[in-house]
Amino acid sequence: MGHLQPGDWAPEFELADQDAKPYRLKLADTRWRLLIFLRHRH
Amino acid sequence: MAEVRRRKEAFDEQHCTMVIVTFLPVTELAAFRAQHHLDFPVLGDPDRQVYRLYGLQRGTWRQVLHPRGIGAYWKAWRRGIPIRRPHGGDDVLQLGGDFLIDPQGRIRLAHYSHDPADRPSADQLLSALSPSHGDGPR
Repeated sequence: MGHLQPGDWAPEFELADQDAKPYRLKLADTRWRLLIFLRHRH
Repeated sequence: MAEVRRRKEAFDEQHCTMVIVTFLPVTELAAFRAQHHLDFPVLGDPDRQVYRLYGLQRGTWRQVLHPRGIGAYWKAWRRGIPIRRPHGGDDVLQLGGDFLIDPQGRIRLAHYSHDPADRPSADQLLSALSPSHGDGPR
């Protein structure tokens, strides 16, 4: 997949969070979202 | 991540939720979150499917050993932040990134790191959220 650009729809996804509960990123939300992808565990 | 964490209140005021995505196994997320004093979601993507979905790729050794990255590690070490050896399952060539998504689901800022120290500042991210920047939150 190529690089996403401003104006593109954010890809939706679901991953497990720290409580092993599913966290789903949905397009429509009441809030902005800042996704920070780490390069390793820091 | 540390700078953004320190400015969490400013992001809250702009109605922005921060989410960390790592490729740690789910069983290690809670400890990681506690270790870094994070009070927002930390997600595990051990297969890096979402990394690929967002176009985040592995870099080269030249990128990882970029002087700016080495300098960042040096500064962290001088501040007393321990520098860890890569852990089993780590991939030191995986590059990170930052994405600001508006309430409609559109990407407003996409930053692909070119080296380990290449991250947008909290001010840059907050600026992209400000009402004067496009049609940000009001």
